[in-house]
Amino acid sequence: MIHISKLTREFKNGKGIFDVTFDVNEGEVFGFIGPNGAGKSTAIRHLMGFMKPDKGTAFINGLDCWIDSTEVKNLVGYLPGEISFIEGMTGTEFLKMLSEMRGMKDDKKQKKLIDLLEFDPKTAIHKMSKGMKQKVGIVAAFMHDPQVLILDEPTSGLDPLMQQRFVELILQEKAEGKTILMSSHIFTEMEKTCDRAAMIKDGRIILEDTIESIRTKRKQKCQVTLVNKEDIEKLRQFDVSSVTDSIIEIIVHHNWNELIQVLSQIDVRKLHSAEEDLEDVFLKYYQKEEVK
Amino acid sequence: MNTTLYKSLLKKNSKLILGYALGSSLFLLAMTTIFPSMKNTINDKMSMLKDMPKGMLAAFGLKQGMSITSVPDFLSTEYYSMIFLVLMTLFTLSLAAKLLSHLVEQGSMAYILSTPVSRNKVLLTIMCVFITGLFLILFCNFTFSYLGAVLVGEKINDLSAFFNLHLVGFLFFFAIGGYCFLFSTLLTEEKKAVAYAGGLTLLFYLLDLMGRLSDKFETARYASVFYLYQPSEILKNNINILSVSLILFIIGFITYFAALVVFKRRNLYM
Repeated sequence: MIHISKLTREFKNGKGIFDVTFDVNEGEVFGFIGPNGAGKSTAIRHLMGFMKPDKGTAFINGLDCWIDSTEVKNLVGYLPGEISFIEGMTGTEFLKMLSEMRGMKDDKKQKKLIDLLEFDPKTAIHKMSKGMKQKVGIVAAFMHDPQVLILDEPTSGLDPLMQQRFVELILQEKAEGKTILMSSHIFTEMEKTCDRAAMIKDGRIILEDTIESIRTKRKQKCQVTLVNKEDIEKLRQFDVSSVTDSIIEIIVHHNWNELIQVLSQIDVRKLHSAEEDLEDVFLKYYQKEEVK
Repeated sequence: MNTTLYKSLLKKNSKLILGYALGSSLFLLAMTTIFPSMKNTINDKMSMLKDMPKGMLAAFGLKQGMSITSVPDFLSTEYYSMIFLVLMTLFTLSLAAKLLSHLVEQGSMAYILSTPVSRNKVLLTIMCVFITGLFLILFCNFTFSYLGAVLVGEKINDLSAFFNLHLVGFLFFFAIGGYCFLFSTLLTEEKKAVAYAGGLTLLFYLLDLMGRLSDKFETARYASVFYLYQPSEILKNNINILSVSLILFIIGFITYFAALVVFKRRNLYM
Protein backbone atom coordinates (compact mmCIF):
# COMPACT_ATOMS: atom_id res chain seq x y z
CA MET A 1 0.00 0.00 0.00
CA ILE A 2 2.78 2.38 1.01
CA HIS A 3 5.89 1.99 -1.04
CA ILE A 4 9.00 4.06 -0.39
CA SER A 5 12.01 3.39 -2.56
CA LYS A 6 15.50 4.89 -2.24
CA LEU A 7 13.99 8.11 -0.96
CA THR A 8 16.71 10.73 -0.56
CA ARG A 9 16.53 14.33 0.46
CA GLU A 10 19.57 16.21 1.69
CA PHE A 11 19.29 19.50 3.54
CA LYS A 12 21.84 22.28 3.42
CA ASN A 13 23.27 21.27 6.80
CA GLY A 14 24.09 17.78 5.51
CA LYS A 15 21.21 16.15 7.38
CA GLY A 16 18.23 14.58 5.71
CA ILE A 17 17.18 11.11 4.66
CA PHE A 18 19.23 8.82 2.48
CA ASP A 19 18.14 5.80 0.47
CA VAL A 20 15.17 5.14 2.69
CA THR A 21 13.33 2.08 1.42
CA PHE A 22 10.44 0.22 2.97
CA ASP A 23 6.99 -1.10 2.18
CA VAL A 24 3.87 -1.21 4.27
CA ASN A 25 1.46 -3.85 3.03
CA GLU A 26 -2.27 -3.47 2.97
CA GLY A 27 -3.83 -4.11 6.36
CA GLU A 28 -0.52 -3.87 8.14
CA VAL A 29 0.53 -1.66 11.05
CA PHE A 30 4.07 -0.45 10.60
CA GLY A 31 6.12 1.20 13.35
CA PHE A 32 8.69 3.81 12.53
CA ILE A 33 11.22 4.33 15.26
CA GLY A 34 14.15 6.64 15.69
CA PRO A 35 15.65 9.32 17.86
CA ASN A 36 14.71 12.97 17.44
CA GLY A 37 16.01 14.47 14.23
CA ALA A 38 16.66 11.06 12.67
CA GLY A 39 14.40 11.77 9.72
CA LYS A 40 11.08 10.18 10.66
CA SER A 41 9.06 13.31 10.02
CA THR A 42 11.00 14.11 6.86
CA ALA A 43 10.10 10.71 5.41
CA ILE A 44 6.47 11.21 6.46
CA ARG A 45 6.37 14.68 4.86
CA HIS A 46 7.36 13.09 1.57
CA LEU A 47 4.42 10.71 1.87
CA MET A 48 2.14 13.71 2.40
CA GLY A 49 3.53 15.46 -0.69
CA PHE A 50 4.89 18.40 1.31
CA MET A 51 8.39 17.79 -0.03
CA LYS A 52 9.83 16.73 -3.32
CA PRO A 53 12.47 14.01 -3.07
CA ASP A 54 15.96 14.67 -4.47
CA LYS A 55 16.03 11.05 -5.50
CA GLY A 56 13.78 8.05 -5.11
CA THR A 57 10.02 7.73 -4.93
CA ALA A 58 7.16 7.47 -2.51
CA PHE A 59 3.90 5.84 -3.55
CA ILE A 60 0.62 5.26 -1.78
CA ASN A 61 -1.75 2.83 -3.48
CA GLY A 62 0.11 3.29 -6.74
CA LEU A 63 -0.11 7.08 -6.67
CA ASP A 64 3.05 9.19 -6.62
CA CYS A 65 3.03 11.19 -3.40
CA TRP A 66 4.51 14.31 -5.02
CA ILE A 67 2.89 14.31 -8.46
CA ASP A 68 -0.54 13.02 -7.42
CA SER A 69 -0.47 14.55 -3.94
CA THR A 70 -4.05 15.80 -4.12
CA GLU A 71 -5.46 12.39 -5.10
CA VAL A 72 -3.38 10.71 -2.41
CA LYS A 73 -5.11 12.83 0.24
CA ASN A 74 -8.40 11.12 -0.58
CA LEU A 75 -6.98 7.89 0.81
CA VAL A 76 -5.00 9.19 3.73
CA GLY A 77 -5.61 10.41 7.26
CA TYR A 78 -2.68 12.34 8.66
CA LEU A 79 -1.64 13.35 12.14
CA PRO A 80 1.31 15.78 12.06
CA GLY A 81 4.06 15.51 14.64
CA GLU A 82 3.69 19.12 15.60
CA ILE A 83 0.19 20.08 16.54
CA SER A 84 -0.75 23.59 15.52
CA PHE A 85 -4.22 24.55 14.45
CA ILE A 86 -5.53 27.77 12.99
CA GLU A 87 -5.78 30.18 15.90
CA GLY A 88 -9.06 31.75 16.89
CA MET A 89 -11.17 28.67 16.16
CA THR A 90 -12.78 26.12 18.42
CA GLY A 91 -12.07 22.43 18.04
CA THR A 92 -15.56 21.92 16.61
CA GLU A 93 -15.12 24.67 14.02
CA PHE A 94 -11.75 23.31 13.01
CA LEU A 95 -13.04 19.75 12.59
CA LYS A 96 -16.08 21.04 10.70
CA MET A 97 -13.82 22.97 8.33
CA LEU A 98 -11.67 19.92 7.61
CA SER A 99 -14.64 17.60 7.15
CA GLU A 100 -16.27 20.04 4.73
CA MET A 101 -13.02 20.41 2.83
CA ARG A 102 -12.98 16.64 2.56
CA GLY A 103 -16.58 16.69 1.33
CA MET A 104 -17.69 14.41 4.16
CA LYS A 105 -21.39 13.78 4.43
CA ASP A 106 -21.82 12.22 7.84
CA ASP A 107 -20.08 12.90 11.11
CA LYS A 108 -20.92 9.61 12.85
CA LYS A 109 -17.33 8.53 13.09
CA GLN A 110 -16.25 11.97 14.26
CA LYS A 111 -18.76 11.81 17.13
CA LYS A 112 -17.69 8.27 17.99
CA LEU A 113 -14.06 9.33 18.19
CA ILE A 114 -14.86 12.33 20.38
CA ASP A 115 -16.75 10.00 22.73
CA LEU A 116 -13.90 7.53 22.76
CA LEU A 117 -11.29 10.17 23.59
CA GLU A 118 -13.57 11.93 26.06
CA PHE A 119 -13.06 15.60 25.37
CA ASP A 120 -15.06 18.71 24.71
CA PRO A 121 -14.25 19.99 21.22
CA LYS A 122 -16.17 23.22 21.77
CA THR A 123 -13.19 24.68 23.62
CA ALA A 124 -11.22 27.42 21.87
CA ILE A 125 -8.02 25.97 20.50
CA HIS A 126 -5.69 28.40 22.25
CA LYS A 127 -7.17 27.31 25.59
CA MET A 128 -6.54 23.62 24.95
CA SER A 129 -3.85 21.57 26.69
CA LYS A 130 -1.33 19.67 24.61
CA GLY A 131 -3.16 16.39 25.20
CA MET A 132 -6.46 17.88 24.14
CA LYS A 133 -4.99 19.29 20.95
CA GLN A 134 -3.56 15.86 20.26
CA LYS A 135 -7.05 14.41 20.60
CA VAL A 136 -8.44 16.92 18.10
CA GLY A 137 -5.59 15.93 15.77
CA ILE A 138 -6.42 12.25 16.16
CA VAL A 139 -10.10 12.89 15.38
CA ALA A 140 -9.07 14.90 12.30
CA ALA A 141 -6.91 12.02 11.07
CA PHE A 142 -9.46 9.24 11.64
CA MET A 143 -12.85 10.91 11.11
CA HIS A 144 -13.16 10.33 7.36
CA ASP A 145 -12.43 6.62 7.76
CA PRO A 146 -9.38 6.63 5.46
CA GLN A 147 -7.79 3.48 4.06
CA VAL A 148 -4.32 4.64 5.06
CA LEU A 149 -3.32 6.33 8.30
CA ILE A 150 -0.05 8.20 8.68
CA LEU A 151 0.54 9.14 12.30
CA ASP A 152 3.56 11.06 13.51
CA GLU A 153 4.06 10.43 17.25
CA PRO A 154 0.34 9.88 17.83
CA THR A 155 0.38 9.38 21.59
CA SER A 156 2.58 12.30 22.60
CA GLY A 157 0.79 14.37 25.21
CA LEU A 158 -1.80 11.69 25.99
CA ASP A 159 -2.20 10.34 29.50
CA PRO A 160 -1.82 6.55 30.10
CA LEU A 161 -5.56 5.91 29.96
CA MET A 162 -5.86 7.70 26.65
CA GLN A 163 -2.78 5.93 25.33
CA GLN A 164 -4.62 2.70 26.09
CA ARG A 165 -7.72 3.98 24.27
CA PHE A 166 -5.54 4.89 21.36
CA VAL A 167 -4.09 1.37 21.22
CA GLU A 168 -7.65 0.02 21.14
CA LEU A 169 -8.49 2.40 18.33
CA ILE A 170 -5.48 1.27 16.29
CA LEU A 171 -6.38 -2.40 16.81
CA GLN A 172 -9.94 -1.71 15.74
CA GLU A 173 -8.79 0.08 12.57
CA LYS A 174 -6.38 -2.75 11.89
CA ALA A 175 -9.21 -5.26 12.21
CA GLU A 176 -11.07 -3.25 9.59
CA GLY A 177 -8.14 -3.72 7.24
CA LYS A 178 -6.61 -0.25 7.39
CA THR A 179 -2.97 0.31 6.56
CA ILE A 180 -1.21 2.23 9.29
CA LEU A 181 2.22 3.86 9.47
CA MET A 182 3.06 5.36 12.81
CA SER A 183 6.14 6.71 14.46
CA SER A 184 6.49 6.23 18.17
CA HIS A 185 8.90 5.92 21.07
CA ILE A 186 6.79 3.79 23.34
CA PHE A 187 7.49 0.12 22.95
CA THR A 188 4.47 -1.33 24.75
CA GLU A 189 2.31 0.59 22.35
CA MET A 190 4.28 -0.63 19.35
CA GLU A 191 4.32 -4.18 20.68
CA LYS A 192 0.57 -4.24 21.06
CA THR A 193 -0.22 -2.75 17.69
CA CYS A 194 2.54 -3.12 15.09
CA ASP A 195 3.23 -6.03 12.80
CA ARG A 196 6.59 -4.74 11.65
CA ALA A 197 8.93 -1.92 12.54
CA ALA A 198 11.86 -0.04 11.06
CA MET A 199 14.43 2.03 12.84
CA ILE A 200 15.90 5.13 11.30
CA LYS A 201 19.08 6.79 12.51
CA ASP A 202 20.88 9.73 10.91
CA GLY A 203 18.54 9.51 7.97
CA ARG A 204 19.16 5.85 7.18
CA ILE A 205 17.10 2.76 7.91
CA ILE A 206 19.30 0.57 10.09
CA LEU A 207 16.84 -2.17 10.89
CA GLU A 208 13.59 -3.53 9.56
CA ASP A 209 12.00 -6.56 11.09
CA THR A 210 8.75 -8.04 12.38
CA ILE A 211 7.82 -7.12 15.93
CA GLU A 212 7.65 -10.85 16.68
CA SER A 213 11.29 -11.46 15.85
CA ILE A 214 12.39 -8.31 17.65
CA ARG A 215 10.52 -9.56 20.69
CA THR A 216 12.26 -12.95 20.68
CA LYS A 217 15.62 -11.28 20.38
CA ARG A 218 14.85 -9.18 23.39
CA LYS A 219 16.53 -10.31 26.57
CA GLN A 220 15.15 -10.38 30.04
CA LYS A 221 16.84 -8.81 32.99
CA CYS A 222 16.64 -9.80 36.61
CA GLN A 223 17.64 -7.49 39.40
CA VAL A 224 18.38 -9.11 42.77
CA THR A 225 18.96 -7.25 46.03
CA LEU A 226 20.90 -9.45 48.45
CA VAL A 227 20.96 -9.49 52.22
CA ASN A 228 24.57 -10.68 52.31
CA LYS A 229 26.94 -9.06 49.87
CA GLU A 230 29.10 -12.21 49.84
CA ASP A 231 26.39 -14.10 47.99
CA ILE A 232 27.22 -12.12 44.89
CA GLU A 233 29.94 -14.62 44.12
CA LYS A 234 27.38 -17.40 43.86
CA LEU A 235 25.65 -15.50 41.09
CA ARG A 236 28.80 -14.80 39.08
CA GLN A 237 28.12 -17.91 36.95
CA PHE A 238 25.31 -16.01 35.22
CA ASP A 239 25.61 -13.19 32.71
CA VAL A 240 26.03 -10.30 35.11
CA SER A 241 25.50 -6.91 33.55
CA SER A 242 26.11 -4.74 36.60
CA VAL A 243 26.83 -4.85 40.32
CA THR A 244 26.13 -1.94 42.63
CA ASP A 245 26.68 -2.54 46.31
CA SER A 246 24.35 -5.44 47.11
CA ILE A 247 22.27 -5.11 43.95
CA ILE A 248 23.15 -7.35 41.08
CA GLU A 249 21.68 -7.30 37.62
CA ILE A 250 21.64 -10.44 35.56
CA ILE A 251 20.72 -10.98 31.94
CA VAL A 252 18.69 -14.15 31.65
CA HIS A 253 19.11 -16.25 28.52
CA HIS A 254 16.20 -18.67 28.87
CA ASN A 255 17.89 -20.10 31.98
CA TRP A 256 15.33 -18.98 34.54
CA ASN A 257 15.22 -22.39 36.25
CA GLU A 258 18.91 -22.45 37.02
CA LEU A 259 18.74 -18.92 38.36
CA ILE A 260 15.77 -19.71 40.58
CA GLN A 261 17.55 -22.76 41.96
CA VAL A 262 20.56 -20.69 42.94
CA LEU A 263 18.41 -17.92 44.34
CA SER A 264 16.54 -20.39 46.54
CA GLN A 265 19.78 -21.09 48.38
CA ILE A 266 20.58 -17.47 49.20
CA ASP A 267 18.95 -14.73 51.19
CA VAL A 268 17.12 -12.41 48.79
CA ARG A 269 15.73 -9.11 49.97
CA LYS A 270 14.16 -7.98 46.72
CA LEU A 271 13.64 -9.48 43.30
CA HIS A 272 12.74 -7.52 40.22
CA SER A 273 12.60 -8.66 36.64
CA ALA A 274 12.22 -6.48 33.60
CA GLU A 275 12.36 -6.84 29.89
CA GLU A 276 14.89 -4.92 27.92
CA ASP A 277 13.14 -1.94 26.50
CA LEU A 278 12.96 -1.26 22.83
CA GLU A 279 15.63 1.36 22.91
CA ASP A 280 18.11 -1.14 24.33
CA VAL A 281 17.25 -3.64 21.66
CA PHE A 282 17.62 -1.13 18.91
CA LEU A 283 20.72 0.33 20.44
CA LYS A 284 22.27 -3.09 20.30
CA TYR A 285 21.37 -3.41 16.64
CA TYR A 286 22.76 -0.01 16.07
CA GLN A 287 26.05 -0.80 17.77
CA LYS A 288 26.31 -3.97 15.73
CA GLU A 289 25.81 -1.94 12.59
CA GLU A 290 28.67 0.29 13.60
CA VAL A 291 31.01 -2.63 14.28
CA LYS A 292 30.35 -3.93 10.77
CA MET B 1 -11.28 28.04 -4.80
CA ASN B 2 -12.58 26.13 -1.81
CA THR B 3 -15.68 27.70 -0.25
CA THR B 4 -15.26 26.14 3.20
CA LEU B 5 -11.66 27.32 3.54
CA TYR B 6 -12.64 30.73 2.19
CA LYS B 7 -15.34 31.16 4.81
CA SER B 8 -13.12 29.92 7.64
CA LEU B 9 -10.20 32.18 6.76
CA LEU B 10 -12.42 35.16 6.14
CA LYS B 11 -14.06 34.65 9.52
CA LYS B 12 -10.71 34.25 11.24
CA ASN B 13 -9.46 37.51 9.75
CA SER B 14 -12.74 39.39 9.91
CA LYS B 15 -11.67 41.49 12.90
CA LEU B 16 -8.58 42.76 11.11
CA ILE B 17 -10.48 43.50 7.91
CA LEU B 18 -13.40 45.20 9.64
CA GLY B 19 -11.03 47.15 11.86
CA TYR B 20 -9.26 48.65 8.88
CA ALA B 21 -12.45 49.15 6.89
CA LEU B 22 -14.45 50.83 9.63
CA GLY B 23 -11.52 52.71 11.17
CA SER B 24 -10.53 54.37 7.93
CA SER B 25 -14.13 54.93 6.80
CA LEU B 26 -15.14 56.59 10.06
CA PHE B 27 -12.12 58.86 9.71
CA LEU B 28 -13.31 59.73 6.19
CA LEU B 29 -16.83 60.33 7.45
CA ALA B 30 -15.53 62.66 10.16
CA MET B 31 -13.32 64.55 7.70
CA THR B 32 -16.19 64.93 5.23
CA THR B 33 -18.59 66.27 7.81
CA ILE B 34 -16.14 68.91 9.09
CA PHE B 35 -15.26 69.99 5.54
CA PRO B 36 -17.93 72.73 5.13
CA SER B 37 -16.82 74.50 8.30
CA MET B 38 -13.19 74.34 7.24
CA LYS B 39 -13.58 75.29 3.60
CA ASN B 40 -12.56 78.92 4.05
CA THR B 41 -9.70 78.40 6.45
CA ILE B 42 -8.21 75.73 4.20
CA ASN B 43 -8.10 77.96 1.19
CA ASP B 44 -6.50 80.73 3.26
CA LYS B 45 -3.81 78.27 4.20
CA MET B 46 -3.53 77.07 0.64
CA SER B 47 -2.69 80.56 -0.55
CA MET B 48 0.23 80.54 1.87
CA LEU B 49 1.65 77.55 0.02
CA LYS B 50 2.70 79.89 -2.77
CA ASP B 51 5.81 80.82 -0.81
CA MET B 52 6.84 77.27 -0.02
CA PRO B 53 9.41 75.34 -2.09
CA LYS B 54 7.89 73.07 -4.67
CA GLY B 55 9.79 69.99 -3.50
CA MET B 56 8.55 70.23 0.05
CA LEU B 57 4.96 70.48 -1.07
CA ALA B 58 5.38 67.53 -3.37
CA ALA B 59 6.44 65.41 -0.42
CA PHE B 60 2.99 65.92 1.07
CA GLY B 61 1.19 65.45 -2.21
CA LEU B 62 0.49 69.14 -2.59
CA LYS B 63 1.13 71.57 -5.39
CA GLN B 64 1.44 75.34 -5.75
CA GLY B 65 -1.72 77.03 -6.88
CA MET B 66 -3.80 74.12 -5.66
CA SER B 67 -7.24 74.93 -4.42
CA ILE B 68 -9.48 72.77 -2.33
CA THR B 69 -13.05 73.41 -3.24
CA SER B 70 -14.71 70.04 -2.96
CA VAL B 71 -14.90 67.01 -0.72
CA PRO B 72 -12.81 64.81 -3.06
CA ASP B 73 -10.03 67.45 -3.19
CA PHE B 74 -10.06 67.69 0.55
CA LEU B 75 -10.01 63.91 1.14
CA SER B 76 -7.36 63.48 -1.50
CA THR B 77 -4.91 65.69 0.42
CA GLU B 78 -6.01 64.65 3.90
CA TYR B 79 -6.33 60.92 3.35
CA TYR B 80 -5.70 59.42 -0.07
CA SER B 81 -2.22 60.91 -0.58
CA MET B 82 -0.68 59.71 2.65
CA ILE B 83 -2.74 58.04 5.39
CA PHE B 84 -4.41 55.70 2.91
CA LEU B 85 -1.03 54.56 1.58
CA VAL B 86 0.45 53.87 5.00
CA LEU B 87 -2.69 52.18 6.30
CA MET B 88 -3.23 49.99 3.26
CA THR B 89 0.43 49.01 3.02
CA LEU B 90 0.25 47.80 6.61
CA PHE B 91 -3.01 46.01 5.87
CA THR B 92 -1.65 44.30 2.76
CA LEU B 93 1.62 43.25 4.40
CA SER B 94 -0.01 41.90 7.54
CA LEU B 95 -2.94 40.12 5.93
CA ALA B 96 -0.84 38.47 3.21
CA ALA B 97 1.61 37.26 5.85
CA LYS B 98 -1.14 36.06 8.18
CA LEU B 99 -2.91 34.20 5.42
CA LEU B 100 0.07 32.44 3.97
CA SER B 101 3.54 32.44 5.57
CA HIS B 102 2.12 32.40 9.08
CA LEU B 103 0.05 29.29 8.38
CA VAL B 104 3.04 27.56 6.83
CA GLU B 105 5.56 28.57 9.49
CA GLN B 106 3.22 27.78 12.36
CA GLY B 107 2.19 24.49 10.79
CA SER B 108 -1.58 24.59 10.44
CA MET B 109 -1.11 24.51 6.67
CA ALA B 110 -0.27 20.82 7.20
CA TYR B 111 -3.90 20.17 8.16
CA ILE B 112 -5.26 22.22 5.28
CA LEU B 113 -3.06 20.32 2.83
CA SER B 114 -3.90 16.95 4.35
CA THR B 115 -7.33 17.30 2.74
CA PRO B 116 -7.83 16.56 -0.96
CA VAL B 117 -7.65 20.26 -1.89
CA SER B 118 -4.70 21.09 -4.14
CA ARG B 119 -2.05 23.64 -3.27
CA ASN B 120 -3.21 25.80 -6.17
CA LYS B 121 -6.74 25.85 -4.85
CA VAL B 122 -5.60 26.60 -1.31
CA LEU B 123 -3.49 29.57 -2.41
CA LEU B 124 -6.20 30.85 -4.76
CA THR B 125 -8.64 30.72 -1.84
CA ILE B 126 -6.19 32.64 0.33
CA MET B 127 -5.78 35.26 -2.40
CA CYS B 128 -9.55 35.59 -2.68
CA VAL B 129 -9.78 36.25 1.07
CA PHE B 130 -7.24 39.05 0.72
CA ILE B 131 -8.97 40.53 -2.32
CA THR B 132 -12.33 40.38 -0.52
CA GLY B 133 -10.86 42.31 2.42
CA LEU B 134 -9.27 44.86 0.13
CA PHE B 135 -12.49 45.33 -1.78
CA LEU B 136 -14.48 45.75 1.42
CA ILE B 137 -12.17 48.52 2.68
CA LEU B 138 -12.27 50.48 -0.60
CA PHE B 139 -16.02 49.97 -0.86
CA CYS B 140 -16.54 51.31 2.69
CA ASN B 141 -14.17 54.22 2.05
CA PHE B 142 -16.09 55.25 -1.05
CA THR B 143 -19.53 54.75 0.49
CA PHE B 144 -18.78 56.55 3.76
CA SER B 145 -17.18 59.52 1.98
CA TYR B 146 -20.16 59.78 -0.34
CA LEU B 147 -22.68 59.47 2.49
CA GLY B 148 -20.75 62.04 4.52
CA ALA B 149 -20.88 64.50 1.64
CA VAL B 150 -24.62 63.91 1.22
CA LEU B 151 -25.11 64.34 4.95
CA VAL B 152 -23.56 67.81 5.07
CA GLY B 153 -25.06 68.86 1.75
CA GLU B 154 -21.78 68.99 -0.17
CA LYS B 155 -22.05 68.01 -3.80
CA ILE B 156 -19.51 65.72 -5.42
CA ASN B 157 -19.53 67.12 -8.93
CA ASP B 158 -17.37 64.52 -10.58
CA LEU B 159 -18.51 61.30 -8.97
CA SER B 160 -16.94 59.14 -11.66
CA ALA B 161 -13.47 60.64 -10.99
CA PHE B 162 -13.98 60.02 -7.28
CA PHE B 163 -14.99 56.44 -8.07
CA ASN B 164 -11.94 56.03 -10.30
CA LEU B 165 -9.74 57.05 -7.39
CA HIS B 166 -11.05 54.07 -5.43
CA LEU B 167 -10.81 51.76 -8.39
CA VAL B 168 -7.14 52.64 -8.92
CA GLY B 169 -6.56 52.45 -5.14
CA PHE B 170 -8.01 48.96 -5.15
CA LEU B 171 -5.94 47.79 -8.12
CA PHE B 172 -2.84 49.45 -6.71
CA PHE B 173 -2.96 47.35 -3.54
CA PHE B 174 -4.11 44.35 -5.52
CA ALA B 175 -0.73 44.62 -7.31
CA ILE B 176 1.24 45.21 -4.10
CA GLY B 177 -0.55 42.20 -2.57
CA GLY B 178 0.78 40.17 -5.49
CA TYR B 179 4.41 40.64 -4.59
CA CYS B 180 3.60 40.24 -0.87
CA PHE B 181 2.24 36.77 -1.67
CA LEU B 182 5.20 36.06 -3.92
CA PHE B 183 7.61 36.82 -1.07
CA SER B 184 5.48 34.74 1.26
CA THR B 185 5.80 31.74 -1.03
CA LEU B 186 9.52 32.24 -1.69
CA LEU B 187 10.61 32.63 1.92
CA THR B 188 10.08 30.21 4.76
CA GLU B 189 9.96 32.72 7.58
CA GLU B 190 7.02 35.00 8.08
CA LYS B 191 9.18 37.86 9.40
CA LYS B 192 11.48 37.73 6.40
CA ALA B 193 8.57 37.73 3.97
CA VAL B 194 7.11 40.83 5.63
CA ALA B 195 10.51 42.54 5.74
CA TYR B 196 11.24 41.95 2.05
CA ALA B 197 7.78 42.97 0.85
CA GLY B 198 7.75 45.99 3.16
CA GLY B 199 11.28 46.96 2.10
CA LEU B 200 10.37 46.81 -1.56
CA THR B 201 7.27 48.94 -0.99
CA LEU B 202 9.35 51.52 0.90
CA LEU B 203 11.91 51.54 -1.91
CA PHE B 204 9.15 52.17 -4.47
CA TYR B 205 7.81 54.97 -2.31
CA LEU B 206 11.21 56.62 -1.93
CA LEU B 207 11.83 56.43 -5.68
CA ASP B 208 8.51 58.15 -6.27
CA LEU B 209 9.23 60.74 -3.60
CA MET B 210 12.66 61.53 -5.09
CA GLY B 211 11.10 62.02 -8.48
CA ARG B 212 8.55 64.39 -7.04
CA LEU B 213 11.07 66.35 -4.97
CA SER B 214 13.49 67.09 -7.74
CA ASP B 215 13.23 67.37 -11.51
CA LYS B 216 16.63 65.74 -11.82
CA PHE B 217 15.23 62.46 -10.55
CA GLU B 218 11.99 62.68 -12.48
CA THR B 219 12.77 59.38 -14.26
CA ALA B 220 13.03 57.55 -10.92
CA ARG B 221 9.27 57.79 -10.67
CA TYR B 222 8.76 55.57 -13.68
CA ALA B 223 10.52 52.73 -11.90
CA SER B 224 8.07 52.89 -9.02
CA VAL B 225 4.64 51.36 -8.84
CA PHE B 226 3.55 54.50 -6.94
CA TYR B 227 3.73 56.40 -10.21
CA LEU B 228 0.54 54.61 -11.15
CA TYR B 229 -1.32 55.98 -8.15
CA GLN B 230 -1.67 59.79 -8.20
CA PRO B 231 -4.86 60.78 -6.37
CA SER B 232 -4.97 64.48 -7.29
CA GLU B 233 -4.29 63.74 -10.97
CA ILE B 234 -6.98 61.08 -11.04
CA LEU B 235 -9.50 63.56 -9.60
CA LYS B 236 -8.54 66.09 -12.28
CA ASN B 237 -9.11 63.43 -14.94
CA ASN B 238 -5.51 63.85 -16.11
CA ILE B 239 -4.90 60.12 -16.00
CA ASN B 240 -5.88 57.48 -18.49
CA ILE B 241 -7.74 55.26 -16.05
CA LEU B 242 -8.07 52.34 -18.43
CA SER B 243 -4.35 52.00 -19.12
CA VAL B 244 -3.33 52.56 -15.47
CA SER B 245 -5.88 49.98 -14.34
CA LEU B 246 -4.72 47.55 -16.96
CA ILE B 247 -1.03 47.92 -16.00
CA LEU B 248 -1.83 47.44 -12.29
CA PHE B 249 -3.99 44.45 -13.10
CA ILE B 250 -1.24 42.90 -15.21
CA ILE B 251 1.37 43.44 -12.45
CA GLY B 252 -1.03 41.77 -10.05
CA PHE B 253 -1.86 38.93 -12.42
CA ILE B 254 1.81 38.13 -13.07
CA THR B 255 2.81 38.21 -9.39
CA TYR B 256 -0.18 36.14 -8.24
CA PHE B 257 0.49 33.64 -10.97
CA ALA B 258 4.19 33.48 -10.02
CA ALA B 259 3.21 32.95 -6.36
CA LEU B 260 0.97 30.04 -7.41
CA VAL B 261 3.77 28.46 -9.43
CA VAL B 262 6.29 28.85 -6.60
CA PHE B 263 3.90 27.53 -3.96
CA LYS B 264 3.03 24.46 -5.99
CA ARG B 265 6.68 23.44 -6.27
CA ARG B 266 7.92 24.47 -2.87
CA ASN B 267 9.05 22.14 -0.12
CA LEU B 268 7.01 22.77 2.99
CA TYR B 269 8.74 22.07 6.27
CA MET B 270 5.77 21.54 8.53
